[in-house]
Amino acid sequence: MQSTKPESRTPIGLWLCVALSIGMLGRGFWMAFYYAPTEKVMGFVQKIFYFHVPAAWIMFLATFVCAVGSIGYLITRKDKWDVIGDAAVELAVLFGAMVLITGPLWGRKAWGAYWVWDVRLTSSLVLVLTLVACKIVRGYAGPSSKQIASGLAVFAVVNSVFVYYSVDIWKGTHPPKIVAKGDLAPQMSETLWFCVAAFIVLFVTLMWSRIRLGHRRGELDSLYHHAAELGVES
Amino acid sequence: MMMRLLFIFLICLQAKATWAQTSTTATTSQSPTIEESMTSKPKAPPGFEPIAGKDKRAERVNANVLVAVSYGSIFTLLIGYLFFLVREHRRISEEREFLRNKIETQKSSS
Repeated sequence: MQSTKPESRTPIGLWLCVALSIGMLGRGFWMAFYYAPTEKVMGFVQKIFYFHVPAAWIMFLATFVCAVGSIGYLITRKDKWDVIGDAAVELAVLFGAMVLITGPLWGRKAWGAYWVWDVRLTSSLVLVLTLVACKIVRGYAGPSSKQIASGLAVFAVVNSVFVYYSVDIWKGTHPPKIVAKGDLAPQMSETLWFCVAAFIVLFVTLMWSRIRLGHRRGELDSLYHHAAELGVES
Repeated sequence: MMMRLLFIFLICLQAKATWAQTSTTATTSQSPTIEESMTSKPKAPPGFEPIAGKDKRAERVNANVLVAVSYGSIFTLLIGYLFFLVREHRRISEEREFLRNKIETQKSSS
């Protein structure tokens, strides 16, 4: 049984990732405010862009990882895949919340309204709500919760593709994909890509820690079973 | 009698036509020249009331506040999630330790 092995310490690599995340986020923050020039049309409020866009991309990445874990679980029915799916869905909700908070704050200045029912905004909201549903189902849907949550995660990744291309297809209020076209000034572009790198390191760090937590929860569950078999009152 | 009434009616018609023509001429003479219309402010559409001086009700959104709230919320979410992770790791460690001790005690007593 795994649970009786001694408590594992936090790996040194994880501590390094934590330090790197803090350093890179700090540097990205500095670059956004002091290195990147102020945008001509939108002004100071454009600074939101440097953390909003990476957060959105990491939300897509987390959704994709969640779908990989979920499909892996649906095929193999092994808990290690479910742990990955569960960790990724939590992070997708976290980064999705960042996107849904920072986007409307930018929109207030740019559009004069916090929210418009544009295709990109609405589909992003649906994506985040699907991910939240995925998390809730995993916790409260009973014995088949993992299967239902995995199915929802597959639906979420399909929706994320729809969210990504929505600005090209419908051309709504949301700005088009200027980063992909290379329409940014060099200093703005450098800042953005540095922030993207910082968010990737942050995602890896959080994912690592969250997967560790998932495994430790599993070990604790088996320890409870073992204790129940021995007749230990917990 | 009928002829008289018709005569009065025709006079009234003539008087009305003359008055309308006079008022049109007066309006035309008051209309601004091209230079005047170029320099004058455009008239507000009906139903809108122009305000003299600075409009105090005008909307002013402070970008600094929006950016501060935006970055503040990102860091708050991150710190909150890290706090949750650390707390969960600690709780699991404590529970594991507690259960392990219980199991050891049970094993040694039996």
